[in-house]
Amino acid sequence: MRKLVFSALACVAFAGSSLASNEVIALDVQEISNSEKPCTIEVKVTNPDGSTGTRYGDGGNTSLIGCGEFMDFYMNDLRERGYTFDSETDVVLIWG
Amino acid sequence: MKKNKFIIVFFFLLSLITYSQNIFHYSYFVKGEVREGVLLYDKNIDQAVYVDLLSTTKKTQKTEDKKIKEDVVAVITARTTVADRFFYKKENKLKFTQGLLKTMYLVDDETLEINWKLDKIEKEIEGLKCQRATTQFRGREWEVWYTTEIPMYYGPWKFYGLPGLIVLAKENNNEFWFKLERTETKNKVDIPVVNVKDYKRVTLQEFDKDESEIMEGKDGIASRNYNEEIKPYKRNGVELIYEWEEENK
Repeated sequence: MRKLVFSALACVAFAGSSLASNEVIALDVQEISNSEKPCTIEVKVTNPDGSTGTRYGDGGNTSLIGCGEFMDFYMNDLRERGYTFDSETDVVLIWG
Repeated sequence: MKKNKFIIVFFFLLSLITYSQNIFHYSYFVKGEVREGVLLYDKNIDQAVYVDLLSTTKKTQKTEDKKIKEDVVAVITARTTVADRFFYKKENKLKFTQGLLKTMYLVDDETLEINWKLDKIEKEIEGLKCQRATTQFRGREWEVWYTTEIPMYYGPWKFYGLPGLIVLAKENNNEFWFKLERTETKNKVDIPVVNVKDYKRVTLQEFDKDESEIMEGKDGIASRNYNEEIKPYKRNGVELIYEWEEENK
């Protein structure tokens, strides 16, 4: 899952670079990874008949890296409780 | 001698007609996902089983799950089970197996009753002459096309009671549908047997209670060391309301 966090960071960097066509924007990845924001993970729970429920895991105020770690922790907790995830396509991470 | 040969051939063909059995392969569309299912029928014991192959689930389109709210960092889709489900049918009696987190259930759908309205509208689907039937079943309207060319009382999922095989069943919001993909003929069909020794045996009402508690997030709360908020849960799957709830309306 951590690779998703780094992918997200890469996306931010890419978005920053495309915006910088007319002006120079210094994007400090270090600052992004250290800045703390509320971290919430939304989980859609689906049963075989298509019914869905939604829950939110609260990771508190944390950095993007910390939030990614909380997401790993939350997913492991869900797995231990018996939930399954088809693949990484069932997980979307966005930062920005 | 010639007469004897004829008799042997006649009885051989008769046995094929009597004992050859069909396997019906379906696709089941569930809110942007599709999976395979198989309907097997054993003529000798007049019993059918529909196997809902959850392990074959594929996405057919981008679902709303992918929409991200501004204040949310990640969206995860978790499932309560990936275990294949077996729907055992004999006349209007139905029992099915289903996993729910770490527990396997054998559920007695004892209130199941489907009232069909048959009309005279006909159309051809995949080369089969089909007739239309409709029903309102557990909160959803279904339009079903069946063919009397294949006399079959049982259908996919929980469907039963039509005078022919279901070729297409569509729920009117287009969120759910079953489609016959192909039929296979075999001399003998073995109904799969599931060892339910360690399964929790419940009625549908009891199962629904356990499932709703999980969907409402009432599972292992005490073991967590973080906060989890749960959005109020309202059933929104293929069945919206059950008979015991209709009675209490």
